[in-house]
Amino acid sequence: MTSKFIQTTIAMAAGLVLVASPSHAATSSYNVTTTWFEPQTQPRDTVFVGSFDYDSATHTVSNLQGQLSEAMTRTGAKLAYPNDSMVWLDLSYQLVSWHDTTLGGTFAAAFKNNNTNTFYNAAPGASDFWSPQVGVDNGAIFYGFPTKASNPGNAYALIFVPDDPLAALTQAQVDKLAYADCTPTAAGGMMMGGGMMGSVCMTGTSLAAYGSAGSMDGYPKMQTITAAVPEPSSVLLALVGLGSVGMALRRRAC
Amino acid sequence: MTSLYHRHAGHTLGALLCLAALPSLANEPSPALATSTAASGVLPAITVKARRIPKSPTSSQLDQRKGLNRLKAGETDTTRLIEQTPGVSAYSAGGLSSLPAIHGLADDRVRVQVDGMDLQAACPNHMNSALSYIAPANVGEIKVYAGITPVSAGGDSLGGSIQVNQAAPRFADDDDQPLVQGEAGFSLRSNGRAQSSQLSATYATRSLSLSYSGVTGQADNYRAARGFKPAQAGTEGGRIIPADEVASSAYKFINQDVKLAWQHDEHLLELKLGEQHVLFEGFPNQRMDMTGNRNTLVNLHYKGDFAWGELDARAYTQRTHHTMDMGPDRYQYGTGMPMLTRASTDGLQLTASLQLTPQDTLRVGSEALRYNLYDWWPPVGGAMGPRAFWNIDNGRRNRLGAFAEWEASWTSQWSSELGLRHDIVHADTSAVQGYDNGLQATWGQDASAFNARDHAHTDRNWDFVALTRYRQDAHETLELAYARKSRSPSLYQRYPWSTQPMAALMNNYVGDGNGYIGNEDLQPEVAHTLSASAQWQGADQQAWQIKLTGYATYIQDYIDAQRCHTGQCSPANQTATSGFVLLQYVNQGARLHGLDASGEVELGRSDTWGRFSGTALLNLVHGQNTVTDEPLYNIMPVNARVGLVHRLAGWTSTLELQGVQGKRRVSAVRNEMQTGGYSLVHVKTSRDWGPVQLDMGIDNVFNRFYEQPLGGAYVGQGASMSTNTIPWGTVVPGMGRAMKLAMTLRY
Repeated sequence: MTSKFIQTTIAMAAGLVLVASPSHAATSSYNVTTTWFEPQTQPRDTVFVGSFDYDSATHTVSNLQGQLSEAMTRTGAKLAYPNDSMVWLDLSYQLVSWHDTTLGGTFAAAFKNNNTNTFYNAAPGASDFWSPQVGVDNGAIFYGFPTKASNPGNAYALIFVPDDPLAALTQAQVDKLAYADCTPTAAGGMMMGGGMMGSVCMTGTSLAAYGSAGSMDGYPKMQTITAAVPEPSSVLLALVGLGSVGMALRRRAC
Repeated sequence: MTSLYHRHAGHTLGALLCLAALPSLANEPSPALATSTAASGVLPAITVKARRIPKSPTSSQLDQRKGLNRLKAGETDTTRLIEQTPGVSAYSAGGLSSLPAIHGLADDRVRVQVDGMDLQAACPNHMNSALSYIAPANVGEIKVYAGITPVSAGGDSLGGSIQVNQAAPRFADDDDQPLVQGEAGFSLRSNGRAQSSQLSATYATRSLSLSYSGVTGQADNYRAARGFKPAQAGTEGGRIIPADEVASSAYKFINQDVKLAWQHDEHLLELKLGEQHVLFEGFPNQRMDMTGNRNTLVNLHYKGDFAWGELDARAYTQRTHHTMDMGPDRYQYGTGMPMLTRASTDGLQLTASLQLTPQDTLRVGSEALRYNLYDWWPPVGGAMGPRAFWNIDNGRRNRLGAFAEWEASWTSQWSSELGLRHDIVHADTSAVQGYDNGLQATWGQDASAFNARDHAHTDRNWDFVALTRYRQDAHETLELAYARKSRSPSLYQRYPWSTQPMAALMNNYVGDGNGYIGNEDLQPEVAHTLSASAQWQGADQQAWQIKLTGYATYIQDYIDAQRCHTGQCSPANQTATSGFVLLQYVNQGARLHGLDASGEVELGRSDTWGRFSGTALLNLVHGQNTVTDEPLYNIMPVNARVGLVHRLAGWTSTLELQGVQGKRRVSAVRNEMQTGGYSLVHVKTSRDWGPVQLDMGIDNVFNRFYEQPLGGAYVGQGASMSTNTIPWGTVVPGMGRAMKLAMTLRY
C-alpha cells in the first residue's frame, strides 16, 4: 500500500515537474491589484482587484476580470479589498488588449459591459469611445450624451502586464494605467444620473501620459501582480518534501 | 433760506475769488463772464451750496469729485477709479468686479456704501461685489477713508470705508425755466474690443427732479503682452485659446436706474430705483463664471435741516439673483455645473448732526441691516444628485448699530474727534444637505456634522476712534489717531460646510484657486490702529503739497486660513508646497504697518508751453501673521506712480510711470505665487469743448508683460472643477497695450 502510494506520488511529482517546466508552459494565471490615488475621496482610493491569464510566449493577456471600487461611495475606512465598505463594480469582459514593445509589456482592459462604449467622443466619424485619451479630450462625458437615459453606464480598468509579469512597473508604465466609471450612482440610477458626477464619468489618468489627471484628480499610483498558482520552484520543493516523507515511511515499513 | 442749504457770504466771496482767478489760471478769459461784467459793471450772482454742519475731513479721507469725469472715461470697473488713492489697491477679479483693499485689508474688511446703502457680495466667489453694483459712468462722488475712519462712516469693517454716490439731484433755479440736462457718451478700448455707452437725462423744476440713467458695456477676453500659457482648447472640442489670451475675462452688462427727487424748503426726499443686469462676466482667477446677475435696488433717502441741526434718514432694499456656471472657455462637464444664489438686503439708517456750540458738533446715528442669503447648486446627476446641494440655506446676517461722534475745536489750531460705536451682529443659518446624503463619505457625514450644531452667533462689537489734529497754519497739518475697529465673520467664512474638494473649491473669494471651508467657531476680528499724518503745502495750494501717513495695525483674531485636515482632506493636503490646496478659515493674529506718501508740485508755466505739474504716489505695506509668522496673503508690494501733467489750451495730458516691486513675501499656507517687478508707462489726454469731452489714452504704452501682484491664480480655462486638473503656477497677467477713446456729450 505504502510503496504504491510512494510510486504514485513520485509519478505525480514527475508529471508536475514536467508540467511546471518553463520550457513547456506558455500560459499562467496571475492576480492583479491596481490602485489609483484619489485626493478627493481619502482615505478611499479607486482599486481594481482582478485576475488574468498570461501567455509569456505571445505576450497575450486573456480572461482579465475583477472588481473596481467606487471611491465616492459609502463610508468607513479601508478594510481588506474587496470586502470594504465601498461599492464594487464587476468588470467581467476583457475587450481590448495590445502589446506595447516600447514600454515592454501588454495592456489589457476589462469592462463592465460587453462593449467598449464608455465616453462621448465629439470627433467626427469617431470609432474610439473608450480610451483614456478620448476621455481626457472630451471631459470624461458619458457615451450617449446628452441623453442621460442613453448612458450605458460602462466602466473599465486598464492594466499593464510587463513582459516579465512579476517585475515591478516603471513609472512610465504606471503612468499609463487608467480607469473610468460612468455608472450612475444616485438614487433613480439611469433615469437620474448621467455619469458618476452629473454627465461626467469618474476617471483616473496621469498628467504625464494623458495630459490630465482624472475628472476628480485621481491618478495611477501602483500596481502589483502576483502569480495565481505556485511557481515551479515551489512545486519542486514540495516534491522534495513529499519524497522525503515517502522515504521515511518506507524505512519505517522495513 | 429757500433751498436745502444755507448760503454763506464767506463761501460766496471765496467762490467769486476762485472764479475770478480761473481765467488767469487757464490762460483763457471767459468770454461770457467778460461780456457780462463789461455790460453791467457787476459780477453775476453766484449761488454756493454747502452743508450747514460740515464734517471735518480726516487725513485718511479723500473726496473725489474733481477730475472724476476724466478718471471714469472708458472705465467699467468702479474699483479702478480709486486705485490711485494713497493706501488703496485692488484684487483682480472679473472685468467689472475688482475688490478694493485698503492698507492690505480687502473686500469684506472694507465697508462699502453705494448711494448710502451697505451692500455686500452674494456669491461664494464675491463675483457681485458691492462696487460692481454701480457703473463708473454713474459715479458722481467718491469718498475713501483709507485707514482711520470716523465711526459715523465705519462699523463692521477694519481697513476703511468707501462711499460711492451718484451725483446729487439737480433742480431748476426758477419755476418758469425747467432744467433739462442730459449726457450721452461712448468709449472704446482696443484690448479685448471693449465698448461701453451711456445715456442719462434729467428733467427738473424748482422742487421736482426726475432722472434716468442707462449704461451698457461689453468686452471680449483681454490679451496679455505675450503668451503666458500653452495655446490650447479651454473647453471640450472648443476653439484653441491663444497663449496670450486671458480666458474668462469677457463681460457684458447693462445698468439702468431712475431717480425721483423732491425738494421743499430745507427738505430733500429722494427715491432711486435701479437695476443692474450682468449677462456674463468671466473670472480668470475663479473656477466658474458669472452667467447672470440681476440686482434690483430701491433706495429712499431723506435729508432735512431743522433748527436743532440736520437729519439724514435712509431706507433701502436690494434683491440679487445670481447665477454661476462654466463659461465658454471652460470644460462644460456635459450639462454644466449650475450654482444659484438669491440674496436680499434691507437697511435703515438714521443720522442726526447737532451743532452744540460753535466749537462742538455731535453726530449720533443708528443703523439696522438685514441680510438674507440662499446659495444652492441644482442636481446634475450621478453623485451630484438627486437633490440640490445647499451651500448656505437661509443664511442670515443682521446688524444693529449705533454711534456717537463728537467733533471739537479747542483752539484755532487744535481740534479733536472722539467716536464710539456699538454693533450687534447676529448670524444664523438653516440645516444643509449634500447632493445625496446617502453617499455618506462624500456628502452625508459633513452635512450631518454641520446640522448637529447650533448655528446662531451673536457678536457685540465696539468701535472707538480718537483723533487729534494740529493745524499750525495754512501750510502744515499734523494728525494723530487711534482706532479700535471690529468686524464679524461673513456668512461665507462661517458656514460653508463641505470638505469634499469640489465643493470647497467653489467657495473662494480671494482668487487663489484654492478651496475653502467655513469655520463656525470664528470670533470677530478686532483691529487696533495707530496712525500719524502730516500734510505740508505751499502758500499757493497749486504750487506744491506733500502728504505722508504712517500707520501700524494689530489685529486680534485675524481670520486667516489653515490647511484643512478633517473630513475628506487628504494627508498630502497638509504638506503640499505647490498645487492648489484645501483651506479652512481660522482665527489667528496679524500685524500690518505701512506708509502712504503722495505729492504734487507745479513745475512751471508759460503762455507758450502751458502749465506743467508733477504728481507722485508711493504705497508701502507690510503684513505678517503673528501666529504662523508668515506673510499675509495678497499684500501689494511697494508701488509708486509718478506723473507729469501738462495743461495747454484746454488740453490736459498726463504721462505716468508706474513701478511695482516684485512680490516676494507670499502666504505659504495658500501656496501663493510670487510675482516679478515691473514698470509701465501710460499716457492720456483730455479736452473739453464746452459740452463735448474727448478722452484718449494708451495704457501700457510699451506693451510690457507683467504678472498682477494681486491678480490671483490663473484658472480661467480647462477642467476647473477639480483641484489640480488645471496647471498650478500661473498668475493672472495684466493687460497688454490698450488704446482708449471716449467721447461724452453733455447738454
